[in-house]
Amino acid sequence: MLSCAAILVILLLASGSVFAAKKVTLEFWTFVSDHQQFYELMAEEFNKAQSEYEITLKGTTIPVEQMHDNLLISLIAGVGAPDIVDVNIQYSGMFFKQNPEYFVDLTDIVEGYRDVMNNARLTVYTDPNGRVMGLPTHLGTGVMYYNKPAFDAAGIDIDDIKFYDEWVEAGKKVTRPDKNIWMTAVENKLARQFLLWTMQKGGYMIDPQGNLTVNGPKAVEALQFIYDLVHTYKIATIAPGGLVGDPSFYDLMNREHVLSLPYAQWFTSRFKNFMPDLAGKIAIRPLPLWEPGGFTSATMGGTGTAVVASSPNKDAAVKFLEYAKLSYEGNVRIWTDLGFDPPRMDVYDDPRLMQPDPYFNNEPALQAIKAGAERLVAKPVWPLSTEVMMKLNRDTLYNVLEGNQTPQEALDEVVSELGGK
Amino acid sequence: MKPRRISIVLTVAVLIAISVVMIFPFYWMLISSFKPIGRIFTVPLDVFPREFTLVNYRKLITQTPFLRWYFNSIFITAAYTVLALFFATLAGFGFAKYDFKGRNVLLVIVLASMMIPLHSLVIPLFMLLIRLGWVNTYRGVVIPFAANAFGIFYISQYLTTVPSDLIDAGRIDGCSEFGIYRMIILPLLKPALGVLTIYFAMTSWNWFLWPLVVMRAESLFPLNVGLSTFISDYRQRYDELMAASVLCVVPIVALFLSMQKQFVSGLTAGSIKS
Amino acid sequence: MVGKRHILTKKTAPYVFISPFFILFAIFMVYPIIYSVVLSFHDVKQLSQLNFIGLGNYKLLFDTPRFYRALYNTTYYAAGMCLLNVILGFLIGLMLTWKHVPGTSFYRASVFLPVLVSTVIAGAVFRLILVDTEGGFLNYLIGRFGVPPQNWLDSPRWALKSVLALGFWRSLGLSTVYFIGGFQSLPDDLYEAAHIDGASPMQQLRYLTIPLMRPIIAFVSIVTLIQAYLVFTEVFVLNPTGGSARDTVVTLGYYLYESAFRFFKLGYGAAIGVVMTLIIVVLSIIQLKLLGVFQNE
Repeated sequence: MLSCAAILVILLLASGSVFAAKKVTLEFWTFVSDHQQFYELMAEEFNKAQSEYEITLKGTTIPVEQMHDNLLISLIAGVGAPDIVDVNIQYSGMFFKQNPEYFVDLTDIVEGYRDVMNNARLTVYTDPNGRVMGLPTHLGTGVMYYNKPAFDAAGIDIDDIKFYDEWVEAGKKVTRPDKNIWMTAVENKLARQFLLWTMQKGGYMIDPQGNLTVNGPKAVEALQFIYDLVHTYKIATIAPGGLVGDPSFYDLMNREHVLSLPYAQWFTSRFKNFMPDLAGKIAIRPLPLWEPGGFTSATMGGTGTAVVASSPNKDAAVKFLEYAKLSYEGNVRIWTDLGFDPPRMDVYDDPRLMQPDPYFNNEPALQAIKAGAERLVAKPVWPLSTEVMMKLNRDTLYNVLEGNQTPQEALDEVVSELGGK
Repeated sequence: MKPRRISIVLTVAVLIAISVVMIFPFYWMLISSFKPIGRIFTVPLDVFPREFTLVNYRKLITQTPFLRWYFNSIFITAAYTVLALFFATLAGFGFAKYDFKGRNVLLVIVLASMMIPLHSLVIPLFMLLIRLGWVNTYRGVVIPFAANAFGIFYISQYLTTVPSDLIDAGRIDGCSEFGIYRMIILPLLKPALGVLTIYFAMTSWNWFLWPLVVMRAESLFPLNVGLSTFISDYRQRYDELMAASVLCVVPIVALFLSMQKQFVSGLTAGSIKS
Repeated sequence: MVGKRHILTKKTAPYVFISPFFILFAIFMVYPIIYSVVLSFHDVKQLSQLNFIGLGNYKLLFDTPRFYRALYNTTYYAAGMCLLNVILGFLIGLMLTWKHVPGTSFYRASVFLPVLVSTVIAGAVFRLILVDTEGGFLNYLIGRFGVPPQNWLDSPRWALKSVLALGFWRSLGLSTVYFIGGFQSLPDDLYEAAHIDGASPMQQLRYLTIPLMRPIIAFVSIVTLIQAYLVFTEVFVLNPTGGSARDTVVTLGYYLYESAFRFFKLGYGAAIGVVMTLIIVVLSIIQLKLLGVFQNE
């Protein structure tokens, strides 16, 4: 009798553990609080969508530089690293190229999605041995944001601007230095626009042997263009704080002192969050071209979400990431909840992505991307080590824009200082 | 001879000006902590408080691990101070009042070690901690620096002024050697302990680089490391930061005002190091 | 009691008393010092994988412009700290010990208060005051005089000076206290004699006070110099990226942290540490020499 009861109890317990989802807490580090909220939301969706795991996502948002320092120290120490982590593209050289052993190889789970994902974007987070170490959060396509009424008032139809020289000419018409009104703004603390234009021109920062060639002709032209915008054409101001992500820049743009901005698609959320007075005025268009038939755009910035190899729950973490970042639904949510251009290309036909947006001139915000997606350059920047990225951000732009180096000299300096590493 | 009135007035004016400059950051911290975030930067600036809100404090306490960090800081400071005092007094006593083989060599080594900057130790110590499994623990932060060379130096210097007769008298009365330390030396050391307590406590309260490297979990951060995560080029949390600063600074200033003498000698003693 | 006395004799007691200290000291001080030198001759790819590269790290270090900039910035900062602390500490100390000045304890406390604030918190407040928009207090203040807003934290022109201002604000109180102590121990009779001889206050200052205060001046300058050479937190707090202000604020301490814990070059970082140690040791020897010489006089 007693043994029967015991067996019954054991059976009950066993069946319980077979059918109940495994409870798992996943720690997640990021440097963007929006990402944290997004993944927390996706965790709830994930729990509803499958029954194997019931995850609780514990997110922490830390400033970008400290988060990566922290991550590196924790990985080295083998203590305190999270299960899932957002690696900023500037640091992908440091983590995915130099220290890939600390992360789970995601190649296998990506295989099933090769057809639908933007493969170029996946390459960005692929290590030197061809393994995918991180999953992209967005495409980060460079687009042009126009303050449409300002151009209408000057008699310029923004849809007529097809090439950069036309864009510069338009700029000369609308720029009013006396009133502190500028065609555009350039960053001098981040090399994003520089890398965008280098790649859109067909240039790249390394040669096939892996040598640093950031002083090549296309890069020099791109840097010269940034210089010319400020000093020759005098149609650009340097973004206050050196970054278009700086609150003081938001303020300047919001007060209509900067009329167009070449920047990543994900900047749409910054417009909505920080520049309320521009609602209805901003129109998104593809970037101008350098030449007929040239590349339509290149990707800007990026965050590769990776699973830490030492995580005790890496299976759950990988499954969760697959759901959040590769699934159709996840990619739709990347747009609807985060406002990023999803890296999975088949979702662009989904009506939820093509809703007209009242903030952006009542047009679907993503149409500019869909239009040119096939001629978009997405090349990894990780062959540039984190040190090169930081040197570009720190010295190169500044020395050209506000110091006295020519673009060639400044880029030669990068290569001579860091080329050997 | 009485100096001319004008030079006194001028001196006082200069001193007032200096005081204003020195005090101003405290004032700015205080009033900013009571401003809603929207008013911290807005032009025209409120140099005098116009709106008064406690929302920053509420956010700090409820939405950040501030109290936990506060506890960590107090715990680390207290643990370090007690340990460092114990090692320093015991060894300082050993050095000052006993003659033994190797004494001078050891003393020179200890004194010479005061020249070594923490920075050059951080990397090897961190690698050592990994092997010990002490990363991300309180002991990992506290113990490596508990053997404080300056403490020994200070105690043994202080004890040279204590006549050895007292110790001999203790021995004659049947005190054990440890008994002498506990019953005779420690009471004698009281003023020196006060100075060292302030010195050790202020040093460990201000630690940054070491806990920044050792503490991996947010819940184990001391205040300095925790609050530094509020500071970023991309996102500024000055509202919570100023409230936190006020809560950190007020208790110390209060302590200082109630025991100025000990504070001044504790902190100036510290600089003799190196 | 009796048993204890057997264990701890007058002979064995000192060893027992100093051993807890020296066990810790050996593990956490002597060993790391030696190991840091060893590390500096290695390329550390993984924690368990040290490749001996001889002087490679040092060669690279002396070939890297950023190192020289760090050395220059650190020296600039240290020299600035030293000058400001000595000159202003001296003057304020002089004013505060002048017996005709009323209410000195208030000024004393206000000069000393910043010493109590940790660098991170002081840095946070400084950042707030120095914010580069018109909404930063300092820009607001100079705006009142028609000066356009300055980029205090990020521009090569101001960034290092802002770090210096932060360091100085926190250190002035201590230097002043040393000078006050020095002034208070000056012998009164000498001054009376000088006064009778008809020496003017300026002459008294020049021929009496400054020579008598030389040991204090030497002490404060060297202590400040040594502390200042280690500057790290001030830079870290005012410029978290260490790059936003280009190379204008990178210091040796920051460069070490960045190399080791941002770029994972532990051997290279160790080499920076060894160089820093050498600088500090030389300064300390100078200090001992200076102070020793004065003691003999």
